[in-house]
Amino acid sequence: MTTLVSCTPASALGSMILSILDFTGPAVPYLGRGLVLLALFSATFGAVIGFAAGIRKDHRLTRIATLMGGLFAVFMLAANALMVVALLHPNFAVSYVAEVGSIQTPVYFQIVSLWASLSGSILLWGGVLGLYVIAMILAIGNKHPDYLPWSLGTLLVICVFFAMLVSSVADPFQPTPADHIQEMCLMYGCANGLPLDGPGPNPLLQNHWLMAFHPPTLYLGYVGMAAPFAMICAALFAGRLESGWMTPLRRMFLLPWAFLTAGIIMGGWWSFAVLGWGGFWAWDPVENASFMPWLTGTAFLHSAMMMQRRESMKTWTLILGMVTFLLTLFGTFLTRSGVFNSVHAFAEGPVGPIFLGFIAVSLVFCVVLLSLREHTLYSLNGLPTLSRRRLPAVQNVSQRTVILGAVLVLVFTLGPALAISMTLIDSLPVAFALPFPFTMPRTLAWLWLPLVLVIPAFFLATKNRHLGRELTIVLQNFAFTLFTFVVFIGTVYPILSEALRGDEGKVSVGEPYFDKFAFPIGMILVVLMGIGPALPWGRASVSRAWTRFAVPLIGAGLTGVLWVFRGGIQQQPGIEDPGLWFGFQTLGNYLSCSVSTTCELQFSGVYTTLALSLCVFALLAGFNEYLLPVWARFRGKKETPIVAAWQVARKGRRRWGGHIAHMGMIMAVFSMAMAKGYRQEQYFTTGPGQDHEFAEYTITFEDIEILPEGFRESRIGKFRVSKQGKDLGLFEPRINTYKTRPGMPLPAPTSRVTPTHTLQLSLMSVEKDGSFAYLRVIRMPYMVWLWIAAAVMFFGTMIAIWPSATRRPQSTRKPDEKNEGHAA
Amino acid sequence: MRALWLWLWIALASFTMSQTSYAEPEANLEDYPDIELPAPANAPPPDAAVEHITEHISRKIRCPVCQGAAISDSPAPSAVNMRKHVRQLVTQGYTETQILDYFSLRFGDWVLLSPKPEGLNWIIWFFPPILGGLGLAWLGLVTVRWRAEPDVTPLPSDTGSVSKDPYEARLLEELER
Amino acid sequence: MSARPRTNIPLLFSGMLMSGLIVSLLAVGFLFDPFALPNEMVGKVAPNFELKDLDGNEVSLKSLRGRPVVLNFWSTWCIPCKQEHPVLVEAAKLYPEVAFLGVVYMDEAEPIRHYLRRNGSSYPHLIDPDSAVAINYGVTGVPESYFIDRRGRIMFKAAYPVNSPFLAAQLETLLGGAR
Repeated sequence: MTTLVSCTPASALGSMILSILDFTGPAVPYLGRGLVLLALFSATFGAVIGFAAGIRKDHRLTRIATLMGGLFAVFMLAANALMVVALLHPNFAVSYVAEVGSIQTPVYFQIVSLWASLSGSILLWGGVLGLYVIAMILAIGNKHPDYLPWSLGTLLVICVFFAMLVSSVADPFQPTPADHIQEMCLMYGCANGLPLDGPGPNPLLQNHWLMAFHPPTLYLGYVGMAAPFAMICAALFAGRLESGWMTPLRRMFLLPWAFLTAGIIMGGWWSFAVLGWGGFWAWDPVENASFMPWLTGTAFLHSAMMMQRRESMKTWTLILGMVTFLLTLFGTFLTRSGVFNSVHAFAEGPVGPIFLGFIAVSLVFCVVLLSLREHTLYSLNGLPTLSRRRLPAVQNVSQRTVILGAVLVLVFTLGPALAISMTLIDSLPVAFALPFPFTMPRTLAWLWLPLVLVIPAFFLATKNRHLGRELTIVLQNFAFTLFTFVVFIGTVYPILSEALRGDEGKVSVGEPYFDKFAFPIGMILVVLMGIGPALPWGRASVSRAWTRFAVPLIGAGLTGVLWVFRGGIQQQPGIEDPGLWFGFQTLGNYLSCSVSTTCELQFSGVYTTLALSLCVFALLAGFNEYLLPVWARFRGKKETPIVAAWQVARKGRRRWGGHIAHMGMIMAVFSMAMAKGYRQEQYFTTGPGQDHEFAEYTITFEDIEILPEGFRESRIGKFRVSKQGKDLGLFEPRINTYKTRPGMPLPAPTSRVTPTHTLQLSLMSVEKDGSFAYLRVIRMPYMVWLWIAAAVMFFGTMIAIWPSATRRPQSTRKPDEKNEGHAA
Repeated sequence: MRALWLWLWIALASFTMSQTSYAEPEANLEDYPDIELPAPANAPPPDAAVEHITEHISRKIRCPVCQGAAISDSPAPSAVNMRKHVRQLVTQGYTETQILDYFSLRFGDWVLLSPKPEGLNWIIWFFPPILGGLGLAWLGLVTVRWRAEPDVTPLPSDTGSVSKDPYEARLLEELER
Repeated sequence: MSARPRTNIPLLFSGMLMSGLIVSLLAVGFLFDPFALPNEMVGKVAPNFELKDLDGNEVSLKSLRGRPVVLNFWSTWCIPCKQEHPVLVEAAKLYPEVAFLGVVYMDEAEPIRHYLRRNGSSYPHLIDPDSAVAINYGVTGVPESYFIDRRGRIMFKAAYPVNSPFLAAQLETLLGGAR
């Protein structure tokens, strides 16, 4: 504490400023609170001015609102920086630091503690919102003066909510209460009235460097969805949706989308590499919460492409965009409310109900805004508008009955058939005596169902000749929406069940449920990823489409056949005396087993083979699509293939970026299918010097080392791994016990990563004297490609966002307004 | 002609629906006055298949002390013990249904990671497929509606390539068709 | 341009309806504790078991039919178990008609013997290999106490450490209740 040496006003002021700037002192909480309050005021002021500017179309007011938005960002980011400084020191006068700070935590994990607990994570949320305010202002620039004020207004209202949270209920800058300081002094010792140490962050956050990247990346994706939401609302407020507005909207959407994709996959990486339970996705409610906005977001992205072409999709596209944002709010609620049983949940106090209130308000806002302003969407580009209230008059009776009949039969055979076939393996109630197709095993149902689908689809398509890209995008929307619905109802059903049935209604919805739906929907999406980009807009000839897809189809078929031949489908117990054709033998056994009721064999790899073939199809169809223009340039302009490829990429950045993102997605699906389908796992209890065989490896337990590291104590098991005689070195999985949380030891597995598979050793328990160790080994084929896919998708999206130099920027500024640029 | 195709398809669907077969009644544990396991329904499976079946069933049982993990995935000691228990029941010849019932009678339905298709739970099993069916029907209607709309010419931004060269532009346009 | 109503009433109505349903569903969620586990075994016949106690004598539950039984799962690494231990020891002496049984949950015989030598014991403690009996009873943690009546039905389950008044009340019910 500074003491006043003399009483002159100047030195009093000087020492007051010094004490405020002393980041190690007790003034920090007040400084932080001050910054947050300043941010709150800027956001409130800016929101009000923004809406006023929009209503009055006043550019001066817009500029003020922009300034307020910038100020909000500055203050929020400053508050975040201050908190990081307080954590680094660590300054226990700040209640958040008293909660998660510790001297013993290494520096990089001290920074990570910023998002270790609830109030810090909300502060980070505010900071990221500030970043996106700036990004949105930059993206819009001065080209869209009619939309900017509305966008600012809406986004700043969201900022107001979070700033309010940070300054009141989830306040990390609260000064640590005196009795808490006393408690800490008792535990850790005191100096100058402040404790010498603190509890430190949750050990799970200190186990791996990924924890420094996964939450911020996820936040950059999650939080950022507020910006495109604001821009969608701006279009509704402004009363028109022009194609010029779609460019910045798309960009502002792709940016958080890229981070969200990377963040979700990084979460899987962390789950696999750190927790070592042998998987990368557990369908935990919080994981689902991050996944749902990604699903609707991807649907929105593709639907927006189509919006310029088909008026009938506009409302639906905007609904998707708004739902994406609402789902991010829902996800936050899920993590912080204490309503859901999740490994991520860190709920406190009144934050839950407050969030629910905000969700309710946002929902009502979206519904009302859309209902009132929806009609303004439909007078664009001179295209005649359609009556949306009635379906187009169908010409004659037979067409009407045909359509009606198709609808009815679809719903009443497809629905129950899918449901029954999916629940088949998990015990049908005895009362269900069903006709043949509904008791047929799932595999055959998968073969039968496409027939039910393909015939009416073909009928509709050939009748309408609309085989083009619109149809695939609409199908994709359907698939993604269905997926979102499945994940949502699976996540929320336990609450519904308990609400309606009380204590005996407690149920769990986990991997078996989600996987059943995820697989078929995923396969549909992979196929669409292949077909979609290869088809043109509007009409396409059926014969052309078939020639385009001939090579991919043949490739997929060949892959399937070859894969089965080399043993992709496996059976337990294995075939005695397998000959050259054992692969096809297994397939035959599988098909005959499917229809019999007495078959005892267990099979694996069937769906994986199917997934592999479809991935090959999509990959080849994508290559096809990229290679054809290159081929055209090569033949037509006599350019070398490399130059031709570069030219095609350069001129179609958006498209090329999309292709790369698709390739990344296919890579991800391939990796997930392989890693889950051919996963191998074993547990060993082993003594020193003992050998164990696992897959192609030999693992020998050698020694144990106890390593005290200041902030944790590690027991390191040393295992020598060799493959076919070749020594691969010493693997050292650990069990870490953190000084700050001694009751919670955490395993830290080690992995050997190769392009074909990942081998992971996880030490479950080990005796201090090294007399025995309990080890778990897992082998996941092609696991590394999932992490690479995240980078590929990110890279592809960044290419798509990058402004294209050849195109004139489409401004929505009116030609008669004062400007220095060119009109749209 | 097209109507004929549709009626043919309706006939095919109806024909398959008219075939009947009945599900085998499973041994129902609720019929017994207490919850002791009845005699196993099947003969013990071959040794080589035991591990596979155990893993398959363990994937469906939730570890009570972990956050949502299956007992096949969790390293917790209680999960390991439950896995051993499952393995023992498998080697005695109990079916998957009997084993899952065993656990749900003792821990509650909550210990099953996939809700039993009964009672209220039919919601989550039926809603998605029915929604899917309705969605597909709506899709069909949408494509019919498109027939009535005029053809929209592609904007340059759609094809993603703005080419200054007329020859190349025409070439790409030809390829687009 | 065809005539179009200004507000999309069906959208408004269905949107509000869905929003209301979702929000009320989530609000209802606040009433429940998502981590609480249901009490499944109460009312069911207590599964039989045959376990050896620390001295190697076999004890079977069936043989105790006709007497109320208190079955307590515990271990030495569980602090609340140690807190309730004296209560159980005392109660076993006070209510000799009730059979008290301790079942060791994921612990070794040696630490148990050591603990009992130091803190006293008035009833048999059984070793449960691989937690087979614990799983049979749906035990998810310790301490858990099952109160079984004379007919062999589980009347109550306490998934928390018991104290004297509570234990006395339960035992009175078991003794004075249906024969």
